[in-house]
Amino acid sequence: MNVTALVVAVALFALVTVLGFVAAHWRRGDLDLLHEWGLAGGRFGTVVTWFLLGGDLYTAYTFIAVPALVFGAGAIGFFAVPYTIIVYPLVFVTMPRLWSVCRAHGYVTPADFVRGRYDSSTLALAVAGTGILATMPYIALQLVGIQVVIAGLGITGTGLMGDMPLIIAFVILAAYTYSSGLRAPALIALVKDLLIFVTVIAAVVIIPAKLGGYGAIFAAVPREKLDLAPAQYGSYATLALGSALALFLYPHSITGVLSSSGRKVIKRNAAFLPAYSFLLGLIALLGYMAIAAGIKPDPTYGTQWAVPALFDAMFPDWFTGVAFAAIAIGALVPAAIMSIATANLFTRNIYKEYLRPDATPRNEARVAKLASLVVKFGALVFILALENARQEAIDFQLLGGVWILQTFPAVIFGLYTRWFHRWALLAGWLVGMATGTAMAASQHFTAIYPLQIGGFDLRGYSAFYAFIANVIVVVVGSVVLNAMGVSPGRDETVDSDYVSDGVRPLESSVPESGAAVADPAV
Amino acid sequence: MRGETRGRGWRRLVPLLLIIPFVGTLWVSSYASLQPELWGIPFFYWYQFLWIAIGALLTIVVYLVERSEEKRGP
Repeated sequence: MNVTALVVAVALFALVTVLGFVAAHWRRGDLDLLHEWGLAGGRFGTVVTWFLLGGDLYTAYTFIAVPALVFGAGAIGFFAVPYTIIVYPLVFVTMPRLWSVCRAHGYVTPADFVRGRYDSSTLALAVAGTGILATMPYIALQLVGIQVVIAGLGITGTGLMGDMPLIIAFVILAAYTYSSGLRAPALIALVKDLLIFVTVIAAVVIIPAKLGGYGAIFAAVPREKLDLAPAQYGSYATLALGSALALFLYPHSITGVLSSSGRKVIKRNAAFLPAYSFLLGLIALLGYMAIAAGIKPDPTYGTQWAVPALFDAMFPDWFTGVAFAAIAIGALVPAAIMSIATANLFTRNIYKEYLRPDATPRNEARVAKLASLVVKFGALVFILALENARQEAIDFQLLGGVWILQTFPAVIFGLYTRWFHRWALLAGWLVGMATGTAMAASQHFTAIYPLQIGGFDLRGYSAFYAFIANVIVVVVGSVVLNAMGVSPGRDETVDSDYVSDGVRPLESSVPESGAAVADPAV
Repeated sequence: MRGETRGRGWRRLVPLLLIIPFVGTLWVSSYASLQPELWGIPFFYWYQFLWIAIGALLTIVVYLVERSEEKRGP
């Protein structure tokens, strides 16, 4: 056991635990209201939003899985870089519109928006259900990230004792998320992002110095890993594009966007978040550094072992502690935001819609807090109880990416036009879900589907092909349904809602009665 | 104040700059090569790092033009 590293990591973990509870008092609001608990009142400025989104999107699993993919599969794993390059222009264009319309009508979730835009609680349920389904395995993967770090610190054991550190970490996380809401991960994200930046910058300086420079590192990697084969070009591009289109449909991303205080905040962040993309590119290179350092896949954790093993081999003990703490804390921030986002979807689009339509904002906050606990403990039980949980979580996370992209037409097209028909959007979603799931399952839950059309090899990301099928159904269905004059439903939004600055603070848009536009609390 | 101001003349076209990163990064065959190297780093890798900076700069340009447009008022 690496005692020095363990002590440092535990100390940092204790620090963020204190921050998590203190956060309840930060920019004080009434935490018994859903938009205060779940969106921190929607008052975060440029800097806090930058840390929050950075902490939210670049998860612990990212730090483990991206270098693991580069370590195991080579160049194809680098698709994470173009993915994060093109995601921010998309954010710049689309997310201010979503923010504006949500602020104008007090929407808390993307499904709230879909309901208001298309007058269809069924379509909203499809969007909300997809968001919940896609996020659950993502939370489980954050646990996997913590597990890998705990094992990296040399803590091993069998049965319940072996699982104890993970259980303790998650109980603490659940407690401060319950009491502080979105303020907790926002405050902790500051510490997390700083630790990650320090760790990665140290890694890309110290490790190449020990291995003889970047030239030596790349020279140590087999050429077939280093070079992207022509047959992989299509996969590389569709993985990048499909992932970029999907990222800001995830409930936790939208929660981060909606908690910001304005359109300008979102636009500035689209310009400054690429700093994390740079970081991610460096993190991806850690996979090659692990190859050059002679690290071998682990019998239990496989290629995911690459980064912990590399840090352990290259860093002094105390800094290994800092690095491992950075990854573990990096799991807590997204796990907290994901559970909050999922809880908001459940509360707004299932509980209030179907179970208790007369729920007040206070009822909603209470239900959301409980739902966030259920979601987190569900993920914990999943990871601890299932024999092959780690692989299951990875498979489901892949499916989650396929699924969430199928909500793109309803949410993003809906920001620009009302031409698409609600039932066509629902049919397209269904077709996308079915074909995407079938494609992924036929390839044993790997991302690439070997599509052949007319003798052309069009292998690519199954989520992307399912999305194309989805869009075709949406377009054809809309033409037919509009021509037949099937009722499109009443649109409660107007054009100016999508560009408004929302100068009113969130709370003033919340009627006490808890009417349809209650509280913005994703 | 309106959040999305319609630009005048050439300024209308400025948001189209945001298409450039898509072309640059999704046209994979344009950069899937190991040569030329830069400080021992193969082309495929350093070139994509370069695009991170280009993407960010283009976004900043679009933001600044939009902002100056808003300041000039409708």
